[in-house]
Amino acid sequence: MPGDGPSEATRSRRHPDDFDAWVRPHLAVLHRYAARLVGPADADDVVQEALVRAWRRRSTYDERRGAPLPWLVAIVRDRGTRLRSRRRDHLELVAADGPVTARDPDLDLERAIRALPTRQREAVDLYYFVDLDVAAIAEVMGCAPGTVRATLHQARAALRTQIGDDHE
Amino acid sequence: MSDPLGPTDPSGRDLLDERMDARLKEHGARWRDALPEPAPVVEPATRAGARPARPWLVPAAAAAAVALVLGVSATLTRGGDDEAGPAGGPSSSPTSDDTCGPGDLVASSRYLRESGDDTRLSAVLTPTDGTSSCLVTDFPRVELLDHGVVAPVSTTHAGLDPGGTTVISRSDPAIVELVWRPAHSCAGIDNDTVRITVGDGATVEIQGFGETGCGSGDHAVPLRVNPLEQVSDQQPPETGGLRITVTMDGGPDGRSTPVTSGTLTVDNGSMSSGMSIGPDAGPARLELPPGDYDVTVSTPQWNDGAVFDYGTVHVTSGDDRDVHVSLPVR
Repeated sequence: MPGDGPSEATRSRRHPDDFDAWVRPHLAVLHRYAARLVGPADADDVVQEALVRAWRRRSTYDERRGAPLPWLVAIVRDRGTRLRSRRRDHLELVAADGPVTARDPDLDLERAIRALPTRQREAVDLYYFVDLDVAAIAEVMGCAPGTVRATLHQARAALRTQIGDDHE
Repeated sequence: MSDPLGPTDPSGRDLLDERMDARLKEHGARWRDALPEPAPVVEPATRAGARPARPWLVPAAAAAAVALVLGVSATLTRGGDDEAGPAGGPSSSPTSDDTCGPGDLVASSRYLRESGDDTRLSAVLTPTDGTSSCLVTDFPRVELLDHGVVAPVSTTHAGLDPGGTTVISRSDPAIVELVWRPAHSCAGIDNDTVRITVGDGATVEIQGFGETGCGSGDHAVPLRVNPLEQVSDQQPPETGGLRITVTMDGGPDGRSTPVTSGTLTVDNGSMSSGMSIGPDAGPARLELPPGDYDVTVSTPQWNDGAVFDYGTVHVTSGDDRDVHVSLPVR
């Protein structure tokens, strides 16, 4: 409505005053990213830890710096990294318990993804698995969209090198 | 642009890349489909009735209670001069374990290079042994020191956006870049140290830009501080080192005299890097991407600062190479 400014619902989605409404649209993405980082079994714990951190730090969020999702994803990454450092065996656990790797014929592909350099794996996880678009990934990774596309291209080339071009 | 590793069809499409892209999309979709539903953190249907406790609200409430207790305690011990947090919300103290603080970071690498009129100084920030990771949300704060004293050099930021939250961990260090132009500054300082502070007082100090001065017509230009950028220690900059010693050799008595002032530069055609030669620094070390570099030296101690062309040296990734530049004295 012209002249009315943002509605209360819109405002609460843009600012963490109403924390519940603010994070709810992003929970699925945060959960998928956490699952990529630590495996599905620990994803809920990581998301919960991240939300606690986000709630504590919500006063430091500045909407002028960008959308909340990259901020929340960064906190999930931090929590996930901490958990991984505490549980060095997470990769094996994921391989045994994950929703795909236990039954999926793409085990080689999954292993190859995990062997990618950090930035390439992050781009692949966020694009192909978390299902973010390139612009959002660029915000999360702190780089230009073109850099994300280049990183994805490099990652695909590296995956082809690892598992071969004849991967059908 | 096509991938040189893969075949392209006549239209220039990279078929192998497209095939991998499609496979990843399929794999990603299957992975999402097989992923269990997230825990019922928020169920819109329950909002009208009795709401179940949200998992984050329990610890959040506990945190708020702790914050309240800490706040009261601080008020009692400090005479009530604490800044109160938002009503019902946390004070700042319980959150400080997230933000990088004193002792959390070290500068693991430093790079100095000249590019056109700019001199760029970069430092890679990495957590110390006792810190797994921490957060930075603002631009780094930078002070230039001249023999321990803060020099009067103002700083400016590259744009208004510090780039959002940066999580600095061992697997994801961050790099801060400082850009100075031209001729460093007109302040005429000997910038031996740069002090960089991020977060809640995480401070590192690195070797500075060196001696600064002005050419005629130069004017004071503040130091530009770029936002923190993430780097990965699994993708270290592929660099090699050159340890360059410069001496003057020969003359009537055949002596070898160390060169203690001047500049040395390396250039590979697309990038030029330089370093001041100090009185007691020993070999100058430059870290460079692999490749062939032309090395030149200029010192007032030799032929009134004439440029001596040493020739080309090859830099190999991961290796330090000793180079002895001998300026002939007749």
